[in-house]
Amino acid sequence: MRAADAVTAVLLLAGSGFCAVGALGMLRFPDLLTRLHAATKPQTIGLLLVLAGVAPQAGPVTAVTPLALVAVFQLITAPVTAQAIAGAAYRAGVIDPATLTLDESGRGSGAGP
Amino acid sequence: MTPAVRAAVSRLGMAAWLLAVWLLLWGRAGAQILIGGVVIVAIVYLVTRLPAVPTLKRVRPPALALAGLEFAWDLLVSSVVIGRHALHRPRQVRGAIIEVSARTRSELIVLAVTASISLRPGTLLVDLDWERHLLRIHAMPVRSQDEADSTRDGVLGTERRLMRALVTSEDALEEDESTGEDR
Repeated sequence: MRAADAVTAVLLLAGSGFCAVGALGMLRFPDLLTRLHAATKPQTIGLLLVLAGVAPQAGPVTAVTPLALVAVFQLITAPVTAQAIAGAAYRAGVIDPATLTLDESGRGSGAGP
Repeated sequence: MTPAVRAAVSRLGMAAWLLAVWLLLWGRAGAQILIGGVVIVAIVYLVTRLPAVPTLKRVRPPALALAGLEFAWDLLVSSVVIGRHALHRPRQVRGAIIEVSARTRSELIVLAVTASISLRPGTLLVDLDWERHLLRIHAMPVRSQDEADSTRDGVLGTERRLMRALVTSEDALEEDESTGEDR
């Protein structure tokens, strides 16, 4: 059991580290889109690592399968949420041009079409 | 395959996936659970008519495994990059909105590409112009034109890998017509 415990310890710590960094980024990044990056993605990998860390402790395979489902649904739904919010911000024209080095669409910074 | 057969196959695939989720939620497979699952899936089918997901013509497992591995690696590396920016001078981080012309004509590949883009720290889909096959992507951190170009190359690379792994009928058609020429 020692090896499994070590794996769990490392993965749980790494996962919570990523989640913490994601939260920190959300607090400290300058605008909506950059915050969205921090809110949706280090958090996703954090959750995956936490789940992977829990799996060795869960015992029978039947207890592990719901963890796999959680991971799958996180991977399916996280991009949808992120794209919905980012798309809404882009179309509403509320993206701050000061945070962009370049805008090839020439539209995101304006007031929309 | 005729369109009708294809739609039926894809609905059956959806039903199988629902049944798999049902079994995973129970965590064990018994006769009662299986029958209950089939009944539930049948009811869901009757109520929603389950969407016909576009089907694949061919899957290349080694290429798919490679795409998965590269995705996991990208996810890890760029999580670290974003994390470093969150800790170190976050106010000065700059992004960019870049346009990428999609090569694929398949909605399924675009779905896979956009999901992969949006899951990966550093890129986020903000708009999709399907008429012109244009993806608008917000990328961070981007400080110069060179970095924007390398992000674009990364997205195109993801698309190329996914197209190699998953062959769809739309893209197979495209390859025949354009004699494999890049556009």
